[in-house]
Amino acid sequence: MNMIAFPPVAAEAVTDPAALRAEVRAFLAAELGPDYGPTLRARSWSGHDPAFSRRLGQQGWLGMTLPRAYGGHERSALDRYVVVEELLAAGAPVAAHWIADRQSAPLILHNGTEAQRQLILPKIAAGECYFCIGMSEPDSGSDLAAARTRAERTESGFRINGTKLWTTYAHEAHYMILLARTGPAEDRHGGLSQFLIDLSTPGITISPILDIAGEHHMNEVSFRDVEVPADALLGQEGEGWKQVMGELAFERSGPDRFLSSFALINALIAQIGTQPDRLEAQVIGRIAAHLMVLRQMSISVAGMLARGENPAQQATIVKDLGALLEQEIPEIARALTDTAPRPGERDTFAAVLAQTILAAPSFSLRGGTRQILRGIIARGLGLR
Amino acid sequence: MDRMIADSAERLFSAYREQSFAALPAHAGADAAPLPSGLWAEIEEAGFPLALLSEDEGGFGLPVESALALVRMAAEHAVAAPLGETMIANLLLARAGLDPVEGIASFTADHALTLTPAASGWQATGRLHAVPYGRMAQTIVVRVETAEGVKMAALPSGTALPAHNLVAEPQDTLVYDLTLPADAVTDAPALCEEMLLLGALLRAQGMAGALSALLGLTVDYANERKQFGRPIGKFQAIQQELAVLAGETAAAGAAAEMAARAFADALAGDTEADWRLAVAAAKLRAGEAAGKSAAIAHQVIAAIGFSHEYPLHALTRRLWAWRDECGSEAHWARWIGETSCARGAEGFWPLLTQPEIRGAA
Repeated sequence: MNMIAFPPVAAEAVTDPAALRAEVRAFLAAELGPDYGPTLRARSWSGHDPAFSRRLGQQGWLGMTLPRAYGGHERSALDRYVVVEELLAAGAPVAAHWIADRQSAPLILHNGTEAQRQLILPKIAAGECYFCIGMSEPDSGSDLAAARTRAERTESGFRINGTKLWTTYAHEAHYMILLARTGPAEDRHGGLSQFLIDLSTPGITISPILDIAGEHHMNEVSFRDVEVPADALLGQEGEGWKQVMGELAFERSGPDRFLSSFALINALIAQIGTQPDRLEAQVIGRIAAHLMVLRQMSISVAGMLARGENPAQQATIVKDLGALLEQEIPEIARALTDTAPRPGERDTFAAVLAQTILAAPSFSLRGGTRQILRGIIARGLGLR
Repeated sequence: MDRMIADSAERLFSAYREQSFAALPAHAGADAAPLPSGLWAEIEEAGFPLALLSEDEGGFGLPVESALALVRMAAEHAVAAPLGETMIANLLLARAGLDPVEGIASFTADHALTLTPAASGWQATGRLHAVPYGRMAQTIVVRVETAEGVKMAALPSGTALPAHNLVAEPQDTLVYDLTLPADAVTDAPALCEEMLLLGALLRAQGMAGALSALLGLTVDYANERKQFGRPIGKFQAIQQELAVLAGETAAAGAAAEMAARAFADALAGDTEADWRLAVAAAKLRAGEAAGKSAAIAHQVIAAIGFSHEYPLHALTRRLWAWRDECGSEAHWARWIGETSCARGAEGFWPLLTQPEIRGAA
């Protein structure tokens, strides 16, 4: 059962993670300051702060694995892992650059033209260029291959019509990597291609969709006769499906997939104090054990990605298990503390609980629903 | 793992799979299963009982992770053998400066034994409870508090009051009232303080191995068994269950490897990280996976899987036995939780990340 193997990372992939970790922790302590409390931390990777992203870029902590020729730092994937997990554990406001650094940059590096790489990658590494994901549509969510947004060839390039939905931070992004149909609808997989879309192009309308907490992260992005040049095509025409699957491996396996509720865990431990009773100790210990194991699995996937392997199955397993834990945390916190959630308060346990409860449903939706992930795992098991 | 050793272990254990299954008594309450005849001789022949020892200590320099993988492999084939127990007992002896022993050995965290200095050595009295393979072991390694400090004793088998676990592995009470020679008792090496964790380390490996086999067996069954005109594995309801089983199996495997790596680092003395935390977490996580996975496998394989003739129970009974031995999930969760809370909220993340990312050689 190779698909469930999580091999250790190769020795040469690791330099001095302890030193880097200490450096990141010191930076974050100074940067976020003592007033960066639980309410802000609990926003997790939804916190949007371009100035912070630029300072990370100045530190050399964005585009870390990219070649120097493209403004990157040629660090290992494991070095990047250290930075990313420290950012998430601290609840740093990483939303601005998150998607660009996590999946758009590796996608462009692997599939983009030289001109696209030169244009985009240095700006991602500087923390100045932000991306959103152009996958879901009104009639194509879990069934991604049913995408109907169409890119038609014109004399000068492509004309795009269609609508993308649930697009996180489209309203703050510079680019979208768009999955669109370039071939016939019958050719479900082969008829798809990816495009690098400058969101300032005329004909693109970005409309907010508020989530259940009233927060504006998601958007509807509509394309109406949007003319893009031929060199907006990203990768090969007709290879969109394959490229998207590669992109999803980056999207599904990181520590963002099991640390979403981490601020609430910290708040819970603070609430319990240093002398837990039997039940409290048992609950916190179980969470710690799950986190430790998920972390090992996630590190292993980072190592496989760095070796150029395709750990799509393992990434899917990490995301499925991670979301289960993330969603269990608020229920556990309720059971232990008997506290009613209070949105709007600042830095109280009740406020962090409220934030996490209202965010939790998305944990098993974004990046692929639980049902879809399990279908992918079942396929890996040879059942489909 | 060294390819040749892995291959020969695979051959060895797979050859004893059926015999080991047939040795399970018809009634779970009856008695422990005997070891399949010839199995232990072959294990000794292969040198596996010395697998955790360095070359200096009389071993053959196998990486610790590979040595522990032998335990996982035996469990994968549902082969009952006191291999892990003997490996750890020999390691403890080596750490105390003693030579490894011939034959089956075991160890226990129970320290209810009394040692008093006697004319020609030590007088050992008392009872040791639930000693794995106690009746078969020629040597039992225990930690004992004496008037002269904490000691480690290498005991002979003692009088066995037979008992066994859910999968008919001996878990005997050993009764002692005998004189030990002076050289059977030494100052306790540091490792001796963690007998329960050493057992937990083995159970975590065992559960990971049994789960891996459980997944294979259940998926194969779902692909072969037809209902409503198609294999039941074609139904989404079954697929979703099996995906959960795969996830749990993957987590248990990763947990066992995490524990093995941490233990390897600790034995090599080249880490400041607390290996105990990794082992405790692994035992907990594998134990949780064991319960969930056994339930899914029985649900999918249904009635035939509940019958004594079908080999599923050789795996699920192991999982149900091992998750409660050497500290249940609740036990280790409490311990990890106390350790975590004692450091406060600010110390929680540093605790989780203290096994620093490192590459495998």
